[in-house]
Amino acid sequence: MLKPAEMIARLRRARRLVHEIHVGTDIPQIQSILRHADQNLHWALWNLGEIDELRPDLPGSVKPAARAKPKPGARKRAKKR
Amino acid sequence: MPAKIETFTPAAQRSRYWNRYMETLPRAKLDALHLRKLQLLLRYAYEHSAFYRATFDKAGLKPGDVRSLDDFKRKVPFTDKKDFVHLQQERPPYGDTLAAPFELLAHHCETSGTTGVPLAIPYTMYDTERYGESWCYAFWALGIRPEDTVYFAFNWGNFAGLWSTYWGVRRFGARVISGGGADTKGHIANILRMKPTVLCATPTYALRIAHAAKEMGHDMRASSVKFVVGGGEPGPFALPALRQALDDAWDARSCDQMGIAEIDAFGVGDAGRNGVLVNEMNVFCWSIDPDTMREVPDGEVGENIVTSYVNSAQPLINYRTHDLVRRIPGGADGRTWTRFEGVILGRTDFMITVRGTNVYPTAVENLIGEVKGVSSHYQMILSKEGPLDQMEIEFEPVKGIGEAAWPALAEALARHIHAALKVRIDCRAVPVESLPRYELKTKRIVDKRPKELRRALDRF
Repeated sequence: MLKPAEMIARLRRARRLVHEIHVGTDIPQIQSILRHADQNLHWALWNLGEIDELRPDLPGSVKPAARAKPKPGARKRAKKR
Repeated sequence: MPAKIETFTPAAQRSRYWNRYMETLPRAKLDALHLRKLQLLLRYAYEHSAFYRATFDKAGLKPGDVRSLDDFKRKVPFTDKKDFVHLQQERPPYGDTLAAPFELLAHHCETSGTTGVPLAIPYTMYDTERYGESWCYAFWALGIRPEDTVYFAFNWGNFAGLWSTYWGVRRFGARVISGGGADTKGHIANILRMKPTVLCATPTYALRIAHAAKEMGHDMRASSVKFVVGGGEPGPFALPALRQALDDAWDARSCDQMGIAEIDAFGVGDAGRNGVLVNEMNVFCWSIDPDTMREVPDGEVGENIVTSYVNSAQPLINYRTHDLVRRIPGGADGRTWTRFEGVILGRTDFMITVRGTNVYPTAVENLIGEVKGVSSHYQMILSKEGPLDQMEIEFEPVKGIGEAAWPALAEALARHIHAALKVRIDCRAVPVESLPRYELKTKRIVDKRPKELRRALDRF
């Protein structure tokens, strides 16, 4: 079973993906479906104690993806390639 | 036969809780979550609601001033239904109480209007989902599962309590059968034909259905119904005699859920069937002495003050419910949510429940005074007829009105009350000077209901 912290990380990732598709499509139906999906993902986070905002349809409610910290030596390896 | 689909994994099916993390969260963590939610809500209300901005400004409060739960209780002004009704009347339908853009509103409900003008309740789609979730905790704890079928013995008006049950059943994944439009015989026929496993009705009406069925030759103990879920009036988790009567009439487990139309169905029934648990994911509750307005400790009776996290369209913050409750820390089965022992013990404003409709005697009194020919000498008699609460009004006609005109006068009064409050109350004229006179406080209400079926603190 996933631990709460693992569930939370995945739910946050899912919200970011939903948001990306929402802003990347002009199909009303898909936008509507994704809006409900985001509400449900927000509700799942709320019910795991992750309280960021009251309502998920407010501007800026989906946080941009956090920049992954480069692993030590990653830049060096990239240069080598 | 289509293959069976499991809604939940086997591990989830074995869970005693709808959400084990939140239902068993230690008090300190639960309170920390409350504070976080309250801070967000205060900021949200200040930024989005003209009513709250004005209220907070008047009190010299900025959302950032609340740094503890004590701050919240001491600094945030109380709100009351009458404030909201007043603002809505000034600028219908919602006036300055609205905190969400109109285009986000998905559902409109109303309170029953028993105090006069009903309170309009706007919801966003998300609000309705979250409101409905309160029912799911109870369904799961009581043993109801998504494969169950819920029959609604209601007509579908604007009553939030009923709609919240529907939202809850949809969210839970069970099957809905609407009994809208059917009379009692129709409900009986529907239940026998469609075989629901859960009956949703006001508790007294569920009893009435069973009694009516018996008179028609049907024993509802043999029906498909396994659970009777009540709401809208004092129910089986508040009144042991009613619980027993419902269990016996249906050979089913009777269940209770307590809510307030404009807030949430936040009083969650559980398997212990003793009082209700406060859904502390959706609301924050604390109690005050209504006379001193000071907080009362757990275990003592006080007025329940509620803040809802899930009504973003019309936030309710430090909202006076006028319900008297006794808070008991922690529930059964490892649950940490606060319990309301006895559910609602009484009202600070003398509300009573007649035939499933909340009635304020003061509202009835005002109406009595409006009927020409009815004097100011009257009394309201509460009794029990079979499973139902009854109210009868005995009044003295104005002197000089002949006895032949009394029945028509009584009917005129009953119609006047029904038109205003939507509840049928029997009225009877009695001879002039036959009712008792009191030197000090007049006793207007005579409660003849059996003691065990009264709420402990009804102030009659």
